[in-house]
Amino acid sequence: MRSTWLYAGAAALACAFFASPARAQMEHVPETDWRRTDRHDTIIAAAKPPLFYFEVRFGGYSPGIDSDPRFANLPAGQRPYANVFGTSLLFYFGLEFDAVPVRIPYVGAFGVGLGWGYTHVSATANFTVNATNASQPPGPSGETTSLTIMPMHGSLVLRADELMRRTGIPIVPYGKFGVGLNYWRATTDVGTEVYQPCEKRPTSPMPPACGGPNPPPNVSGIGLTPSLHIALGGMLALNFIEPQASARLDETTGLHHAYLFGEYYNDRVTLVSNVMRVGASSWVVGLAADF
Amino acid sequence: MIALAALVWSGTAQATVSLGPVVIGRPTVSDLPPSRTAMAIPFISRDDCLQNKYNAQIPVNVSGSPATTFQIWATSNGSDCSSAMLRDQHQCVQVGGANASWPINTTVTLTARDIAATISTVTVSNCTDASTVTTGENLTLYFMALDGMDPEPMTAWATWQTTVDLLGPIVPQGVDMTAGDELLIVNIPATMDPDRQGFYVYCYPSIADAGGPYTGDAGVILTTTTSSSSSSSGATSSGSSSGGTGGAAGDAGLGGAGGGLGIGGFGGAGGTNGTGGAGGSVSVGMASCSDRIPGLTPGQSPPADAPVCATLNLDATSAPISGAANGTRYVVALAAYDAVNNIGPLSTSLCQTPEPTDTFFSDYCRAGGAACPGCGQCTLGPSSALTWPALATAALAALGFGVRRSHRKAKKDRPLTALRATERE
Repeated sequence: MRSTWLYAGAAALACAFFASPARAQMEHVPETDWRRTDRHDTIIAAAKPPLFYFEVRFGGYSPGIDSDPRFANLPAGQRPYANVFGTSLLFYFGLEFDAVPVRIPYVGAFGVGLGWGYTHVSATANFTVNATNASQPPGPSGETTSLTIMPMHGSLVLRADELMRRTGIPIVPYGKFGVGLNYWRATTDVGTEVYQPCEKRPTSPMPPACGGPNPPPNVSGIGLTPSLHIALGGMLALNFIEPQASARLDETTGLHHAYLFGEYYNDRVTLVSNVMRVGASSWVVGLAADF
Repeated sequence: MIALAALVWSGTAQATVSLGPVVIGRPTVSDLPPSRTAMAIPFISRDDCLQNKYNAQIPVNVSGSPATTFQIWATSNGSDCSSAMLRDQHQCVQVGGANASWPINTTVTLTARDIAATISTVTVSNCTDASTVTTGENLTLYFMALDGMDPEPMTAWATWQTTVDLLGPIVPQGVDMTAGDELLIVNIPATMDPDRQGFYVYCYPSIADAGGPYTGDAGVILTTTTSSSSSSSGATSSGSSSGGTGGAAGDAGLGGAGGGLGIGGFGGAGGTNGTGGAGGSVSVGMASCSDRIPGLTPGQSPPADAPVCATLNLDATSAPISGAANGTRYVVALAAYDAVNNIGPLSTSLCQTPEPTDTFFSDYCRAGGAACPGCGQCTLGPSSALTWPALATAALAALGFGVRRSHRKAKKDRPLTALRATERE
């Protein structure tokens, strides 16, 4: 606990020391002082605003599949996703690229972003019945059942970097709002899983329609889920760690800042009915850069 | 047809033995390993030997020599067969038998068995090889001109290389099998065998004709280790949902057929007068069983025309075989094959019974998930009371932002517009 406070204090001091030299130059000069020129606006104008952001994202992912209202009458542990894969968070990896050509005075950069992510979960499928002793729970089979989700989104992005540009405080709050498109695919050892509604099962009766002239068709375990995409986050510019190296990097590569960021996002509000709710509401962290 | 460029070598400046383009009288095997195709060295497989269809046509021409005949010698250990001393020390073997010779300037026809017979470990009558080396023996054939029957001096000679590979890869070890929904999954441990190019999987019943629950009529597939009494006992037992009781007597009881759910019982380890046969072979791993696939024997190479239910490549460590019937008990065995399609010994049998499983998407659909029955019935509409209000708010915000920017831009441009208007006046 004590060490945590020490680290927090050190981080705060670092921020303070980073801001000090900039602050001297960035302070407005009183209008009565005719010996000094006000360089504040000149410095701000001279600093190149970023046009693009790139993010590498990591985090936990908990798809909202079991939040489907049709499962409301099932106990939480017996809903399809939890029953097969459990409730552990999945590892999520993602990339995002933003173009922010519009600058809003005293606010920051505004533009559009495209994101792609990947997460995967796999488990051993249990037999439906215990062939040895029907009164006992069935054991694991040799078959693997998996679900792959690729959350994607296109968003309007607002990165409020004027706070950092004008005050030197290395924090950039941001928000994103747009449309998500979550690709999902359920697989077994032989490829994409196919649900056969008229398959004879030992534990569940066949739907009555299976005996009729128009039996229900098989369903392939692959789909897209459109959703709203909402995200709020904050970025900590890391240039204060090595200001000179950062400046050199900027001059040579055009990379203005490197950031550590944390973001809350929500993809759970689907835009279309009759889709699998694979969107998540979760936190991600990662590294970002502007250029 | 494989043609081999002549390899010409002359022992003296005056005498030359040259080999013309060699034609191998057999169909081309497309899966020659790169090492062999690159070297253009033809090989002799076990099938070549059995059918004796190799028939290498080798034109031999001798010039500048008083030779009247020539002999062919073979070595697999790199010895120089032009040396009479080494030939006397049995480092080389004469092709065609002792003192076999051919007239000069003719085309020699060598069969697969002629060449294979020069390897000491090979029995050409049944084309077996007692060697433990499964990658084959490299042979160098010496075509040597002779002055009469005098073995020395050889006036000239030429050499030609081939490989005799009569053995398939070693028997797969540690293979296991599990079952799923209409699925058998063969698990193969990653082991190094330079001769192995892949595996043939043999199934009984074959996946194509598998259908209906296993009847427990073990007599069809059991050829050894199970007494008829235990088999028949197993066949007649039944249960409501699990495998029946195994053989009531016999050395190894065989489980009974499944009951109402059609789940095949499988052999228990019943001793004498024992009650073997815990029903249902659904456990993961340890699928080894004593059953046999008809016509195939563990430890012996399957015939080339034995029906195969799957072919696995070299890198396969887990291979699903789909299309199996739930409730049917399958006996599966594997044999490795090499680059010239020599099939190695058959593994021990593995037995499993596919049964329905609870996989994610099927569970989801059975529970009434919204994505079933598929996006053919997708409709555009809110799935939450929040959806459309949120979208409407966002649209209004974007509209407001655009209008504001438009007004500000117009305001900024106004003095200039006014100035231009004045100038026009």
